[in-house]
Order: sequence, then structure tokens, then C-alpha cells
Amino acid sequence: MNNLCAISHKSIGIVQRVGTVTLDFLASFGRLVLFTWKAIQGILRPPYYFSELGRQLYSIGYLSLPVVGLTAIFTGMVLALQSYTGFSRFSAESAIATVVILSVTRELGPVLGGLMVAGRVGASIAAELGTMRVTEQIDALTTLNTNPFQYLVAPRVLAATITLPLLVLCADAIGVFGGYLVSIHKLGFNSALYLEQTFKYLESEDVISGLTKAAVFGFVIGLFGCFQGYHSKGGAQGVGRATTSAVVSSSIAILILNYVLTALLFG
Amino acid sequence: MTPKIRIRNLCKSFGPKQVLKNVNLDVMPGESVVVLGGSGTGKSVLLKCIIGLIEPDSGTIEIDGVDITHKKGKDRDLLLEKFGMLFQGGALFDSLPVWKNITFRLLYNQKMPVDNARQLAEKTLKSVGLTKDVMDLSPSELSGGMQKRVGLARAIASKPEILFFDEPTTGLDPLMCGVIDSLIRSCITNLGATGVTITHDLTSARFIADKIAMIKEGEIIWEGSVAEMDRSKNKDVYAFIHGHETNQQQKQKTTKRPKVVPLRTRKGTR
Ligand SMILES: Nc1ncnc2c1ncn2[C@@H]1O[C@H](COP(=O)(O)OP(=O)(O)OP(=O)(O)O)[C@@H](O)[C@H]1O
Ligand SMILES: [Mg+2]
Repeated sequence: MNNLCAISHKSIGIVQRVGTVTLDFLASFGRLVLFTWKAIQGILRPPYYFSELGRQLYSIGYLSLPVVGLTAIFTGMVLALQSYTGFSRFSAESAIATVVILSVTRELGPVLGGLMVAGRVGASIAAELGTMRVTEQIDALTTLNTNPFQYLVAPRVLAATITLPLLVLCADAIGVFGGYLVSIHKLGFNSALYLEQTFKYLESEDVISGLTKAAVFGFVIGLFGCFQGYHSKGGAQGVGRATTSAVVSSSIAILILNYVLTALLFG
Repeated sequence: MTPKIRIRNLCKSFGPKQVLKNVNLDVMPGESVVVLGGSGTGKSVLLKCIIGLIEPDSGTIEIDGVDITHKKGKDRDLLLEKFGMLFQGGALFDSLPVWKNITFRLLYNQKMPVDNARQLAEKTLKSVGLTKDVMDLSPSELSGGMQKRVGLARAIASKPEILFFDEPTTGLDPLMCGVIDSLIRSCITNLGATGVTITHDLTSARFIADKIAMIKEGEIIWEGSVAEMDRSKNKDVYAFIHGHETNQQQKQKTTKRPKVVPLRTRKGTR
């Protein structure tokens, strides 16, 4: 009897825990949906703050170029090396150029670029908005007749959505170039032949699918950064937590969405 | 006459903690009300409720006889144009230079031309005792007291009808306190604005106030003019003015206490 009681107590505890966690999750999911809706409204509805948008395009887009470029070139290089190791086992070296460009444009460009930008930009957006929240700057904005969704959230989300595809386009070029460098100088391929192989099987869909993904990832990065920052509370510690959550949640979302988009649209 | 601000039975809790309990307060047009009270008694929360940053749990807030407690969207926007607020921590936008901070509302919402805005910023800065040298600095390059004054300048720049000042003189030297006090007074007397000021400083309160409201543990426990305050026998009011309780009350206490206990340190940690 005692035993039974203990067990049932325990299971009630577990059920309770699961319940609370589920409710918490649903609550924050609800908040995220609401936030997304308000952000989209903020983007579509006037007034538009073009100078803010310009500033964000510069800091989110242009300043991310080195990070994304560096990621891309090494990815392209290692891709050539690895596929050489694999393909040379059944004398299919000629496929290397194709493998490099397809992997870079379809997968690695958008995903690795997205993850790097999530780390750089998502964190900085969350930290900036979080600091503005805890120092009451967002409140001050509201009292000065300015909607934070229009002035703060919209320019950041929009800038991230616009610039990530552009960054990924650069990353595609740089990544392919990285693969080219290794293939020519290290693996001893013929330059003209490699280039011909590179573009032989490339279709516009490969590039477009990558860029579409990138736009979605950009939106997610901007949105999650703003969401975490906007809802942060509890001083410097809270801002730190918001920053971490922004990076982790947007990175995970990128990985999941990448699969979903690939499976649904570009399978 | 309808009060400019009329608060009835305002309640607000954060979780289990009830911060405002049945607050009632009237502020007449052109009147300057000073809210006095210890630290953590809900003064800032009260201001934020009036201005709409915090939604109260129950009770009503009327501006010019119109219930605005749960107004949203366009109506709220029109209402906010009437308000100017100085936040306790300044809350300056650190991504913008000082002059854009001061003229933010006019520049971004009312599309004031840049030249006019700069002129206005310069004029407003002068009135809070700052020179135009600081115009193009970022707020983080200013001292705490200077930030406070820039915050004040931002609150009054668009000449709103109702001004809220959350501790305008905390952290300023006595001379500057005097300047700010007379500035607040002149905003109210000359511009005909209505003001609600939170302060701990009795000298300021005496200078600024037409009416004083004393808040304790989320309730307005006393209201009256400065003269009435000095004569008041209310023990909390007495304690606040004199920094200690009346002799009678002290005798009633069984525990030994030093004769003069400054109120702020005593309540601060509670
Ligand atoms: N957003 C919030 N969430 C939870 N609790 C809050 C929040 N804002 C204020 N409080 C609580 O409400 C109480 C009153 O806070 P308030 O800022 O109004 O104090 P105050 O009277 O302005 O004090 P001070 O003179 O120190 O500024 C505090 O105990 C605070 O912990
Ligand atoms: Mg306060």
C-alpha cells in the first residue's frame, strides 16, 4: 500500500512536471507567434524608418561578409579534399567539381552561412534589444509615440532577410573558388576541365533553392534575436540569457527548417 | 472642473506581490503634484500605469475625463502625444546622438526639418543648463547628471500637456537641483502644463509642489499642500519630513534605536 502510494505520488510529480513544461512551451510558442505577427505588421505598415534599415543592412549584411567568406572558402577547400579521398576509391574524381558546387549552393552555403550569421548577428541583436529593454529605452520609445516593432524589430528582421541571400550568394562563389584552389594546386586537376565540370550539371534551381533557404534563415535569425531581446528581463544576467537563447534557438530552427524546406520544396 | 488626471481604485500586482493598492489621486489642470514615498513603494509603477506602459489589474485612469485605462492603438498614440516623461534611469537611446534624443518625437514622428530640430535641441539643452557642445556626443559619453538633464530635455522638448518626472534631481549637485526645480516649475507655470513629479528631495518637493501625495506600500496615505505637510501630525508624513519619528512614537518603542534614523537607508533594503 505504502509502496503504491509512493509510486502514485511519484507519477503525479512527473505528470505535473511534464504538464508545466508543456504549458511553458505552449506559452512561449504563443508569444513567438504573436511576436511574428506584430513583426510582419511592423514591416508592412508605415511609417518606415529607412535610415534604421540602412544601418542594419550595413551592420548585419556588410559586416558579416568576412565571417561568411572565411567559412565558405574553408568549407569549399575541405569539401574538395574529402570528396577526393572518397571518389578516388572508385575512380570518380571527375565528379568532385560537381559535388563541390552542388553541396555548396544547395546545402553548405545557406546552412553554414546561416549558422555563422546566427552567432554573429542573432547575438548582437538580442544583446542590443535586451539592453534597451532593461534600461527602459524600449519603454521610452513607446512614450515618444514610436512603435518598437516598426522602429526596432522591422528594420532588423528585414535587413537580415534581405542580406542573408546576398551573403550566401557570395559564399557560393567563394566556396566554389576554395574547392577550385585545392583541386588545381593540391590535387593536380586541369583548370579548364575543372571549371567545365563545375558548371556542367549546375541548374538554376540549385542556386535558387539555396537562396530561398537563406532568406528564410535570415528572417528566423532576425526574428529570434529580436524576440529574445525584446522579452529579456532581469538586468545584465537577463541580457546574457537572451543572447544565448537567441543563438541556440535560431541555430536549431535553421537546422530543422533546412530539413523541412529541402524535403518539401527542393527534394 | 474635471481633473486632468483622475485615478480611481488603481491596483497592480506582480505575481503574488501587490504593488499598488487602491490608489486614488486627482491632478487638476496646471497643477503640480509631487509624489513622495520610500523606496520600492510603487511610485515608478504608478507613473508607468498612467502613461500606459504597465496595464493595471483593476481601477480606472481618466485623462480630461476620458477613461484611458485600456486604450490601445491609435487612441493610445494620440494620448501619448500629450505626455512627456523623464525615466528614473534616463533611458536615453544610446545609438543616437544627444540632439536626436532630445528631438526624437519631433524628428521621427512629426517630421520636423533637421535644422529646426537642432535649433530646438540647442535651446532645450540651454534650459537644462547644458551647452551645445554636448549636442553631437553619444549619451554614453555624458556623466550621470548630464544624462539626467538630457532626459529632462527630451521630456519637455515637444511641449507636452502633461509632464512626468521620475526623480529628476537624484544624482545632481545642489546647485543643479535648484536649476532643475525652477525649470520644472516654469514648465508648469509658464507653459500651463500639468506635472507629476516623484522625488525624495524635500527641498525640491517644497519648491515644485502645489500638492503633495504621500505613498506608502502602494497606497496614498496622505494628500495636501506644502504648508499642510509641515503642520501634519500624520506619523508617516512626520517621519518622512524629519527623518525620524515623533518623540511620542519613539518613546513607545521598546527596542532601542538611535535618535536620528535617516529614512532612506532604513526603508531602502526592505
Ligand atoms: N516589471 C516588474 N515586475 C515585477 N515587479 C516589479 C516590476 N516593476 C516594479 N516591480 C516591483 O514593484 C515594487 C515597486 O517598484 P517601483 O519601481 O515602483 O518603486 P519606487 O517607488 O519607484 O522606488 P524607488 O524610489 O526606489 O524608485 C518593487 O518592489 C518592485 O520589485
Ligand atoms: Mg522609482
